[in-house]
Amino acid sequence: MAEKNEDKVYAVVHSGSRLIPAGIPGIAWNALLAAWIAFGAQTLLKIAVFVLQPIYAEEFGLSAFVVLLFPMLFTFLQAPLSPTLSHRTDRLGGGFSRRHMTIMVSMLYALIASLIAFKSISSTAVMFMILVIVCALLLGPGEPLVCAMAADWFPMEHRGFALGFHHTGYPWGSFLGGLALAYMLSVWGNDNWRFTFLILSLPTLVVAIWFQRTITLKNQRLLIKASADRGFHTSVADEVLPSEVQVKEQKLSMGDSIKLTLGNPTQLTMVISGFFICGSYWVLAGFLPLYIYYVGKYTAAQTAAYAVFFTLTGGLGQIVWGALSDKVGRKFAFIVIFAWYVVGAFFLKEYALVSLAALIGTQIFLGCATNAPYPIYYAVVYDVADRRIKGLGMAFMDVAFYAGALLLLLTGALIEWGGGKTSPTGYYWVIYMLMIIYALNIFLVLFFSRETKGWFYKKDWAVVSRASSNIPEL
Amino acid sequence: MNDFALGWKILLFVVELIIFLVVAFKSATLQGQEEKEFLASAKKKA
Repeated sequence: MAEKNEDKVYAVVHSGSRLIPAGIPGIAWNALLAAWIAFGAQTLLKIAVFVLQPIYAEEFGLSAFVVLLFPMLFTFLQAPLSPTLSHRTDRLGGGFSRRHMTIMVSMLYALIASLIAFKSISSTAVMFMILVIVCALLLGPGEPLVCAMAADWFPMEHRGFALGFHHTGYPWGSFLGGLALAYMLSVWGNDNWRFTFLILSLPTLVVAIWFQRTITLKNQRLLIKASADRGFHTSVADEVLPSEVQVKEQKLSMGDSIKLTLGNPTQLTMVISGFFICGSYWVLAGFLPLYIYYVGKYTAAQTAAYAVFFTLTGGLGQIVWGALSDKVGRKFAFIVIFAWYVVGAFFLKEYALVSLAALIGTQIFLGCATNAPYPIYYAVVYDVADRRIKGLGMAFMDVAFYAGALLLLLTGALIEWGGGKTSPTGYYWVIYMLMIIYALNIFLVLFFSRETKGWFYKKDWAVVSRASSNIPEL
Repeated sequence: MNDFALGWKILLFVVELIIFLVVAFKSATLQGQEEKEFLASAKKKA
């Protein structure tokens, strides 16, 4: 029966790919750009909660531990609603059916964030925290929804590129958000920090209108036709994975969907690896300013500027490694990125604080690997999850990513055990922890996930079977 | 408690709210039509 079903399967491994996409239908680019801008708009609000910490800590008179609870809870609470709300959009196979939910969550979190602007509503730390928490709950599902949208609407031959390009919205959105916040604070003064939440929520309006006009069934049909005319395949029309063959029920209950998602060893490995790797990203983002300020002895303003250089190559790394993963394979890309990070982290400990040039150079090198894994996690999950659970699979990745924020607790503890924030010892231990996490993830990905395409599809060292990972045999 | 640029804040919030209501209504109406159309064409194919 399995052999008989194979001819019905069309998975990403069957699609050949050039490195640089050419001849892609305009509607696919239109949808990808909308999803990209949406992700960037989400990031503007995310970065505000992090960057404005010193200002609201001072206004509310908060200790360092309490003020850190804001970004911690804000990150962690983006997880709970993601699986349920994303899974609802899988009902009709994704595509146009993700539009309405995406618009609803986007506009609602934008409105809640706007309420922070009113001093009478957010005058106390408790009220501010409540608004931040509600905002996080709605902001969370926005990420897997727009990631799934980027994958739904771009030819599957270039899935890695599409997700890599889309994911640059995070580092470059962070960079722009930081600059915009610095400008607004310099014009209006630190006392008017609340207004920035209202201003940073405005791009979401543009995105909602864009989605309302672009992500439609009519355009989905245009996409399928235009893609087929140019020799491309789309997920919404062509992709059929082994688990979809001969299924009677197109819709799955939440329980069955979770079983199918986490029962796939490749998907489960991505979730576990994503927890540690994204957790390491939160660690780097949280630890680097302290390392530069207290150990490097730079001023606060210099620290704010010099701690974000890794985001520049972070975005480029996502495009390059995302696109390369279409050609060389997802697992191979992961392994090179993780090894690259270990070397970069070593430079961070040994050379970063020798001079300003070394600090920037180290970050530029390290940045090539800091953000690159995320689009590939999404690409692998999208490669192996059938259309009934693609949105849910993306949401599980996001739950793992946000839960990774818990590693910040260990980071704080290591810095304290190493002699406190002015002693370099604890910071070095944190860098060793990052190197160990990345090194162990090389083995985790190598042995416990299957390659979905590329050079090593047939020479895979995994101990789990292709069948259990929902990948066809060639 | 003096709220900086309160007039601007109220104006921007109201504009945001109106756009949300219009876009959400249009999208919900379209979603209903599209789902019917999509399910009908899927049935036809089957």
